[in-house]
Amino acid sequence: MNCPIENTESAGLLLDYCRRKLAPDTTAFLERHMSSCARCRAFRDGQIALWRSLDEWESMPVSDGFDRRLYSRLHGPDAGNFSEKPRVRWWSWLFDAPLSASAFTRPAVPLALAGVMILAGYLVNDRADGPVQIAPRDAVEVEQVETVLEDLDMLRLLSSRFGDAVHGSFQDAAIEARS
Amino acid sequence: MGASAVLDYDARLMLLVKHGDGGSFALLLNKYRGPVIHFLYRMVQNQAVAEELAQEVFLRVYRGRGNYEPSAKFTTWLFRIATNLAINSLRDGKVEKNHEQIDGPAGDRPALQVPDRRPSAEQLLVYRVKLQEVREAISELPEKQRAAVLMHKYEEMEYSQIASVLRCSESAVKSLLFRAYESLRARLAHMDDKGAR
Ligand SMILES: [Zn+2]
Repeated sequence: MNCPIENTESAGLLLDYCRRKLAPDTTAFLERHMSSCARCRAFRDGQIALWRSLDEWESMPVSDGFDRRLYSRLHGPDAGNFSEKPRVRWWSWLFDAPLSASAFTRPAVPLALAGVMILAGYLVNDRADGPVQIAPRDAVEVEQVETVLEDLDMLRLLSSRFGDAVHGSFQDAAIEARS
Repeated sequence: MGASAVLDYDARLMLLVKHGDGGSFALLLNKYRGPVIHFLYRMVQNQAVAEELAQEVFLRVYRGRGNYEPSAKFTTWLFRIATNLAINSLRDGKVEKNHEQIDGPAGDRPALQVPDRRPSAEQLLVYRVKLQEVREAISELPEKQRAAVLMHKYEEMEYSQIASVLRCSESAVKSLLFRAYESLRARLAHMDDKGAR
């Protein structure tokens, strides 16, 4: 093979080799080349030694007041409507990990959706038959409205991520529950 | 599956920030505060200036949330802001070169991390000399080469991402890195012979 060090495009391969980021077959190929190429061996040894030297430069700790200073600037006159405290929704754990095509194969998502359906059904029944009163009616209604609105939030997020298939059926159920 | 499903997690958080979710901003800040400050610190080599620039980075992220379009990875956008601010700051001459000497007063510097728990005076001296040489060697690189090396070495970014941050081609990044590492290898070659870790 041509020596990879001779052009910068393929020299990237040597850098990747030193970072151990190459596929096994490319690694083996380069190692065969290096066994007979003193220039590439020298590059490899020099680069590994250099990175060892650069590792000496550790990062600095962030000063304590960094976030406080930032938020005080964010909350300044041009900050707009912004809440510093994370608003943790009860369903946010569903989205803590990056989504993948197999998201629906995880049991948690369908279970949570089933839960929302049951809740929506319950709220519809609740309105028709009248619930067992354990708290003043107004307070219960406010809670129910908040819960339904939060569920709608979740449905909006779900439908934007999983497409229209989910959107139709669940959105209808939740809207029915709210009406 | 909608386009949003293939977005990286950070970009999805940023879209929530765009819609007013402060919690998502806090998550992004928590995740990238360190990397951004460390990158800026190595660029400008001054802790106070690095933190001030990092404040500006996150302010711009927040203020630019309305216009955010997830066309690239979130970190690409973030490091592009950070790189531009650092380069402008260096060009403005606001940063005194090697302003902070590692053997100067402690200030807000971290304690030196030397492998042995109780380094001898000689080990400490060797470590300090090596560290100072590394810092000087990096600071002597042209701005773009410096940014490329810091993103490649310390942030472990791919060529394509560095290219996107620096708005150049991947082969230009490889060329930048190749030249930068060549200078650094020549400049610091003697360090490995000293051995004294
Ligand atoms: Zn070769």
